[in-house]
Amino acid sequence: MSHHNHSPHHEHHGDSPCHKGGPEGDSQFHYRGGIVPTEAKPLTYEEVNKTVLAMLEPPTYRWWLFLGLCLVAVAIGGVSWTRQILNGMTEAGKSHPDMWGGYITTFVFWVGIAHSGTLISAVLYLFRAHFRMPIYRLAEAMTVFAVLTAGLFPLIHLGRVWYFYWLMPYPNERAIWPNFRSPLLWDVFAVSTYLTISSTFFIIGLIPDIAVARDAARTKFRRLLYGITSLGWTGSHSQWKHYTAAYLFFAALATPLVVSVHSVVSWDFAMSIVPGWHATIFPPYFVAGAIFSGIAMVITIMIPLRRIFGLERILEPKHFDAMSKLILLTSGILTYSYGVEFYTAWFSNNEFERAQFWFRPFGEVGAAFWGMTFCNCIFPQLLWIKTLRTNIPFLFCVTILINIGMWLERFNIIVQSLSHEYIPYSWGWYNFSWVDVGIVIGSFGWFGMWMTLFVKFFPAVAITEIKEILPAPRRTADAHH
Amino acid sequence: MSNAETPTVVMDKDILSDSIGAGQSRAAEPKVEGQTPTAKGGVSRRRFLQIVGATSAGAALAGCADDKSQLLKPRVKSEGGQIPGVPVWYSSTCTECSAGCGISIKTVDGRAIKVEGAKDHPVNGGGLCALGQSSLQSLYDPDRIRQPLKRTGEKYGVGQFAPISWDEALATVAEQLGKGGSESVFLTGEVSGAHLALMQDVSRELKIRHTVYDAMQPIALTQAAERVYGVREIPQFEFGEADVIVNFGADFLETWVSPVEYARGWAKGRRRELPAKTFHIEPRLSLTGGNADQWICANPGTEVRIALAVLKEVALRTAGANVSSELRTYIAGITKGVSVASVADEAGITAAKIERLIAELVGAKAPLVLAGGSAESTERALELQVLVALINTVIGAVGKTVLVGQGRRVDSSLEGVTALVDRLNEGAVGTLVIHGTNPAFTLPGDLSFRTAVRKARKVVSLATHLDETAQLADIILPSHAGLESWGLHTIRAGVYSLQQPAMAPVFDTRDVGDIIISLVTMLGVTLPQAGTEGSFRAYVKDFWLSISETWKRGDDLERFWHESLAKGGHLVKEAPALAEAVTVDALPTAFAPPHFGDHRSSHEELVVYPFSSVKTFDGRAANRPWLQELPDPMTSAVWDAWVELHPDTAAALKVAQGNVVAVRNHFGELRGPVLITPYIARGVAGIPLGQGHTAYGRYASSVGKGNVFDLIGRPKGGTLPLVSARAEVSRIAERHTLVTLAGSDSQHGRGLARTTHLTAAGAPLLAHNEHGSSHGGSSGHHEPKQMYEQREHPVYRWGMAIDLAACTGCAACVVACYAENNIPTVGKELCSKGREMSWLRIEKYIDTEGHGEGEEFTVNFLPMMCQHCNNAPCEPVCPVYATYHNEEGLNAMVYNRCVGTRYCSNNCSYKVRRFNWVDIEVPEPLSWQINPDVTKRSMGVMEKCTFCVQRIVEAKDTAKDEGRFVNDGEIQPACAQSCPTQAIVFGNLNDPDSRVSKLSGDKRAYKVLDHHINTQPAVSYLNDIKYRL
Repeated sequence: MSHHNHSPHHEHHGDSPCHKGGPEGDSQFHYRGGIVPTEAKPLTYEEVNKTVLAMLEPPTYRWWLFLGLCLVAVAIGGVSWTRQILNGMTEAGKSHPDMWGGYITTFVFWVGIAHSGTLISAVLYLFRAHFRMPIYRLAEAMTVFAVLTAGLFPLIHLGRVWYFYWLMPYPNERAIWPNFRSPLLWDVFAVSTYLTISSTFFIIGLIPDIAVARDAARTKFRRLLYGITSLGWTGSHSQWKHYTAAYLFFAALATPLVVSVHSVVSWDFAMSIVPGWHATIFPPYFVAGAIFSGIAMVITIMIPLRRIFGLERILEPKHFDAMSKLILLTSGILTYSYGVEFYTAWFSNNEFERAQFWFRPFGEVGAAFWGMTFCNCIFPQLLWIKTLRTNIPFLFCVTILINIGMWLERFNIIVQSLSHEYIPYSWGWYNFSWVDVGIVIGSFGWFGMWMTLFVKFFPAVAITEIKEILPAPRRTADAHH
Repeated sequence: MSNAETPTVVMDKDILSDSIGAGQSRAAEPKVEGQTPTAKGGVSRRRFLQIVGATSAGAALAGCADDKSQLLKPRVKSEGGQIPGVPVWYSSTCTECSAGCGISIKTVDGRAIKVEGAKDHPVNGGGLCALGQSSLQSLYDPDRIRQPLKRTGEKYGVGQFAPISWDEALATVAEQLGKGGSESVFLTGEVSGAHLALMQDVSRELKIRHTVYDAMQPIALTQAAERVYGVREIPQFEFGEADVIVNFGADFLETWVSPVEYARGWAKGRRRELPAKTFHIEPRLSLTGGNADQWICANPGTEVRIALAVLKEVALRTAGANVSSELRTYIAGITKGVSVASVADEAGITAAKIERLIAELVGAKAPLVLAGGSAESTERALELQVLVALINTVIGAVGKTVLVGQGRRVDSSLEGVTALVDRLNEGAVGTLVIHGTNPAFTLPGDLSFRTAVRKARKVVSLATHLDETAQLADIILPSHAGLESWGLHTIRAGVYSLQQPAMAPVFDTRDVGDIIISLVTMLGVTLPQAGTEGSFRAYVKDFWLSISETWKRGDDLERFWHESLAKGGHLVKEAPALAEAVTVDALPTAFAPPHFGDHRSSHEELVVYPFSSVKTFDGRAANRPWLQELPDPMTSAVWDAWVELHPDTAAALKVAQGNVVAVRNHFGELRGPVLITPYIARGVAGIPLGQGHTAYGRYASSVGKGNVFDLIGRPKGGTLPLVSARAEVSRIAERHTLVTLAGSDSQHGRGLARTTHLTAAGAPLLAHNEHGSSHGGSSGHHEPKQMYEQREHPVYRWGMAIDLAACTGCAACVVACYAENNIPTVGKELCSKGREMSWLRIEKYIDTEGHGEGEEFTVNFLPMMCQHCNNAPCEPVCPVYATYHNEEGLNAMVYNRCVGTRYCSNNCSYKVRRFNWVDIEVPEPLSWQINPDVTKRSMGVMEKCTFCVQRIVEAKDTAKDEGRFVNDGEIQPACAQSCPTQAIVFGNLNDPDSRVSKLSGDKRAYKVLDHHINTQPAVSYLNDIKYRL
């Protein structure tokens, strides 16, 4: 495929609303990118502009309601965190030996969610997988906001959060540096690098679309907002030239991060000697899991947005079909990884590993293990059935279950392992406290708040890139004003 | 008379002085009008400064009449040999139980901060039990009575007291005592030496009856000793000499008579090339039972039958070599028709076990047979003790392991206290003065002491706490805690120990001796021994000088006195010779098993089986958070009183673990959560003694619902019939969380605490499955090949060796660690969330792996603290270097640097790191105990065992000043110091001649988990050794 020879701008001057798509009822178009639209009639450029920009229309009460809900959740989280800072970690349900519990579980959960954005936007971009076009913007936004959310948890879980900056290698008169051998420090760098690159990539991708929004903006505030954030985008040929180069560059830069971030997060566990953590399979296992959960989360978010904003013609069933296949693939990898953990425990003849992997399914909280297995390994197998892959309500169920299952996976890894270590006298258990729950709720509110604001302020579907996979409009007499 | 004796400064004898003028430290006493005694009013800063001033400056200013609070300026030159921050040690005697262990009290700036066993004391030889360690929390108990009180509310109302002055209080009591008409009674706990002499003087001069009651005294043992050996005493038991010990229920490693002394002796026997064998016969597995080579779970009450069979057999097999023909005939008479098979059947055990025990006894060179604890708490206590004494006589233990005529005197008398209750009920008692005992809590419920005491005209309490008995008093003259008091104790024949105050009193209390002397003085009686000042200190001194007459003491008696005080004044004199011969006429003839319950109880009801532990004792230490938070040695329960049931019993009652049951009988009722354990006889409800206070203090009254003493029937004979009642146990709809700290009772074959099993002949058994499946034998010595360059420790590498064969699991080290290292207690709720802060814990494991069926199992106690690994997993994971390895091999922890990721704890394979989940508020004056040499950790940081780095630093400083290296044995961490059996040895592993190096290289030595994860701990453990009998 020669995508770049067919840049969306070489037949028009950027995506300004004055370009009203192709002719109505024109049945002659050629397909680009090899994706055959399932609907007979493709979208026109104008329809794309209209549909996407309609999302930015003044909000309805439902939007306000949802934003309000998110803010309430954020407030719950804030109150919980404040309580914890004032009264100490005793407010959380952790214990000896479960020094990490809900927070790190939720941290890994959000880092995992943050994965798919970069995968969809960067990796699939490099692989020229065009089904990514309508999806990637949302996925990227999700990535950035999920990292923003995940990044809170290492802070929340600190015993003395007011000294969080000691984890940074900043020059100080005592010449004390952080311990570069500690996986937690690697985490700091991995997550902050990921946040920097993914948000830069995200913002760059947004520029042409913001320009579209700018040109269509009716209020002074929006003109100002988009005027600044579009960074003077005019859609000139040279801008596109540099833009595509930069985009490719960032895609290339972000791609290794897909692998590295979650690998580093997995080292938090794999580098320790806790039975159930100390395993070489962790990095690929975590990356696969992250992609799995990320894609599930993208679908979970896209389904209601598609309905609310009427994006049915942009987010077509074929896109869901493609993503379902990714879910099937990663579910398979994950199931294999789970199996390898058990196999290794048995094959190593290490009594502590064996005890741990006996404990997970058959211990006090085997339910968490079986819940995970059902949600991540068994139920997604139904996606082998083609009709189910495009059955939107079913997909919604699958992805919700996967989200739960992936949270449980991290819970199993973290809490179950810590609960059942070397010294039987010190076996213990972790119980959620209201503060834990409040903070997890708060994290969903925080994430939801950013997503809600984002879809109202910025184009949540990539206008320019959608057009890449549409038939180019033909210049006709009646089509031009 | 003086209420504020300044402790004698040991460090500098030239400026010795022992008195600040009376009243001076009282002059600025905060007077809180109408303050209820249990109000939480803290001790004011002024009062605190006053005490600091009084002790650091007071000595040099004796006799000055001005207010000491005027002198609280920092001194340019130190006075009285005291340098701020430099500890001063006082020698004294522990009065927590009547064992009489010598103690050294560490004081810093006038405050006692640590109690340790006195090194060369004839009783404890350096160790000190958990109870003794916790005496500091009695001294600084915020719930102590702070000034004299007078009841204001309704008679026998609770807690309605108002403060009064000492003069008024003493005058009132003296007036009452002076009134004629009815008798006055002094009811005290077990007292000896100077206290006993004073009581005898007072009762002689004032015609006051002196009654003694202490629930923990083995009265039947002394009665039996009188009848069989001819001396009424607790004979001196030489555990260290014995090679076979047969023990009917005496918990001698934990609470019985003199546990530190006995544990020390017992461990000596265990350390021999061929260790001593111990058989323990008890219906419940106690700490002592767990340490025995064989625990024989006999049905309660059948001990007397087993003893009878044993006596018969040993008499037959020794052919009466050690006994008179009269005694031989008597034994033949009482054992007629008794057979091992029949008593085994009664006891619910196999005859082979008794046969084995008899064979061992007969074959032993120095056997020792004991009975105590629950076994001597039945109506057949005397009979059992007589049989045991006869067995000892028959097998020739007397003179070898049972030294008669050198024992302890017991004055407690159940007959006495029962008679007192009867006289109270008759209205014959005028004034009842109570000190050092809590009969309203510890007398059997059937005696109804609380009702009877109301018939006394006036009840005077000389208590330290508003316990159940003090609550019933009309007037309370608060006495000093043990660490503030004078005393001279006769521990056993010829062994004396001095007690002196370590600091000025915390509250406006007085020495009980001083109070009594004041009272008799006011009644016109002069005690010449009390000197012109009329103080108990003078009385003690006089007593000391009179008993030491034959001692080499030089001409300067004053100097001798001070030197004695500095030394702790233990004096060992020649013991008197053995008393008169035995006559069988006084011996009992019927040895039927005891009857449980009375005519009102049915046989379906369970036998109430109260048991004592170092944690609860008889309830005397219930208001000490250290002991409440100390896990029960066998169940690891904290802050609770529970009901132990055998699984079969529980199934029959249809109750499950954690259900709440009511235990009811005719005398009383209690409620508690069920704890199901196979290590108790069927048909028995095991309930810890000493919980369920309704008064005493904030901690005591929060634990337990109901007092097990209340379920007990009236004493028959001279013994407290703790195991005599039956009660109905039924589930009730109540919720209660029983918090046990152990995550699992079993090692799951992981070889954490290892045991070498010996055959009865002493040959090591090659266990096919000693410690885990993946590795054979006790291959603790293989040095794995290391991939990386190893750390170097240029001068010192601190290490520890713990001999599991000597460790009894008594947890003295745990409490010592709390005291030394300012470890907060967190309370039950936080314990339930796994947030206890102990740096050192005793892990108890019971494993049946590799054994046969039935009761065959191994109990292990594993003290677990930071292992100071050379390859510490906690170190590399800390992102901020808050924990690191220092060049002396310590795994150091920098609290200030810690941000609280808690990763180190996750990665610690030994799970010995603790996190400060919350800032614990310690009420004043409990906080006065805080060791100034150890940082108080704040919320959000990790902490753990430091090997008592403050002591290491101190010793290194001293060594440096003297231009040498630290000597072996110079540093003793608090745990090692407190250990009664000296199972813990600390030192420099770089020195091949140090004790710790040698022990670490012992053939029994191994390191926990090291062969799995190559952590290279600095702590070596030495295999336990148990016979498989």
